[in-house]
Amino acid sequence: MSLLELRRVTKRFGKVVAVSEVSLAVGKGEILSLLGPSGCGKSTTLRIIAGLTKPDSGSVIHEGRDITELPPEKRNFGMVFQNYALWPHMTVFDNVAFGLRMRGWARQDIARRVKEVLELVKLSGMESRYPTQLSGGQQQRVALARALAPSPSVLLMDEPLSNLDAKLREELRHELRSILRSLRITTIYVTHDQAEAMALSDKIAVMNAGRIVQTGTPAEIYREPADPFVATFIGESIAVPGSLLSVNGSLGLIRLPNGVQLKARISKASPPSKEALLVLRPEAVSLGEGENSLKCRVSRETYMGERVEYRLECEGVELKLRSLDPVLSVGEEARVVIDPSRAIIVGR
Amino acid sequence: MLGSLLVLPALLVIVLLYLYPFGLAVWISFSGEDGFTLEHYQRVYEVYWEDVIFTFWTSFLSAVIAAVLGILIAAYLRLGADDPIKSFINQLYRIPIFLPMVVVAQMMRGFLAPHGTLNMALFNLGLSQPIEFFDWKGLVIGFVWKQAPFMALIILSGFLMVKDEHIEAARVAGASDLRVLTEILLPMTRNTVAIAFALAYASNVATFTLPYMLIGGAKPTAITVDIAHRVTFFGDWATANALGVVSFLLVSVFAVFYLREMVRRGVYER
Repeated sequence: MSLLELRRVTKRFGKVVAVSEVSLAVGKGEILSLLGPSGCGKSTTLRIIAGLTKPDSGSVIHEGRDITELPPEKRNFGMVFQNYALWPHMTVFDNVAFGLRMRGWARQDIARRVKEVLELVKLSGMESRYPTQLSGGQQQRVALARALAPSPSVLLMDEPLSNLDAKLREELRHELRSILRSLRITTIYVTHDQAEAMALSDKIAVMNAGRIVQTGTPAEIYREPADPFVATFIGESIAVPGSLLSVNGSLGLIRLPNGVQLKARISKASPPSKEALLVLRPEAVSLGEGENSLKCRVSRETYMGERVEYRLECEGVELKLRSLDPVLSVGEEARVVIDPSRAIIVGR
Repeated sequence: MLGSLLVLPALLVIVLLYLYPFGLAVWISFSGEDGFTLEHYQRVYEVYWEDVIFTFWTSFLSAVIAAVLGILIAAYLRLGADDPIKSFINQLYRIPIFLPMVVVAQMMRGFLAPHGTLNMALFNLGLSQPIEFFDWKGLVIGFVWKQAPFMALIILSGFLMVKDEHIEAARVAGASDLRVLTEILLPMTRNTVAIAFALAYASNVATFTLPYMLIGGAKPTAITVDIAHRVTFFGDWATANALGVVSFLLVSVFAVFYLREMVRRGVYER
């Protein structure tokens, strides 16, 4: 049974439909990411779960009970905000202890629990500091400790790492993952960063224009996109429209606008249709000749440090090719092979 | 040097229009026929000391009650759900701010009279004798009626400076509206509340119309009534000025706090 469920939740702001008929289920101990571009409704969905925004229709079910009308202070959820939202007039200790005080914990229990969670987020010894005396990373750790301290039933995180620089973000992402795994706490994590969602989640719900367009494991979302939006939003991909000519098992033959025919795998989450999209990610493209190959010319070379990235003009189609070492130069001609097991066809 | 010259016109206006008349008033309060004297202050102590104490505590009590009401109104407008009632209250509560004190005093005379609205309501509730409101009680009710909306306006502006996320974080952490008010909003805006209190208290101490129309010359009354009385009937500017200096001292503690806060916040530096 799911710990938390959304059933056909809709929220409008004036004429704008922010969340439309969203249904999802999160199991106990599961980490679910709501992934999508800015303005897709993921934060509104999270706020509806928290009780901070009332839906126009639909219901929020927690442990089998309808909590749609329950105020946020009675839900026993924890929340980490994008801008930390630490109270500036309180010390780290007071910030973390706040939820415990609201629940009427005894003083010595509060002191013990605050010490425990500050150790967990590696902030021992910072109890008497004020938020303004902490770095962004430390503030986010305090925000996490504050949300975790009362042992909430569900942890809600709204783009918690987006205000940090790239290096710190990656470091905290790994720490966050190990903390959430060790506590086995049910988490709903909002992000627009697919790498973050992939690294942290058991399940990802991809949102677009207020709707959930696909839910699945990170591998399912990446390998079996349900529609063109998911196929192009997830991963670094180039999508070329075409017509599906034939299907042979899991493989399909697609004809591109330039007349070239290529074989590719049909996404399991997208039923085959004549109007199709060929999704080519860099790992599907390699130098070589023979079947399923294209003649290309190098239009751009970008040195990325650990790899070199080439832009190729291939018979009217633009592709990306990655290589560990520089192997081509701009203007050079080469043939590339499209790996049919890695190129994906989705219905349009 | 050029900087000092540029400041000079503003400084001259302050000195000529504010500091000079104030300094002159203080000087007169210490001046007798033979030069420096404390006789006017002695008269203040002997004749008006009861009124000094009365002015202090009625002004202070009124400001405290107005602050509590102002905080409650501001909290409702900041934390309450957006609905037509809130929208209505948001418009309604500001009206007393724009009414002149003389109008408020006239309204209070009708409302608090022995056969006025309040006493008639109390009579209908079973009270046999009308309550005398034309004393400290009426003064406090009038001050609160006038000042609570003003304080609500200032305090609400402080509450609106607190980010929604700070309030929402407290709510998700388990805080009721009352706890959000006492644990988040008030501590984060305590200077704004204190400034609102200081302004309301100072305004109460300086008000003439309300105590004059409600209490008049009856004892005890407000210092402002005594000042007017001293000037009108005795032409005694020296004692009137001594009373003025005393009323200034009554508000100066809060005025100093207000000015210090304003400078600390940088309001006067911009």
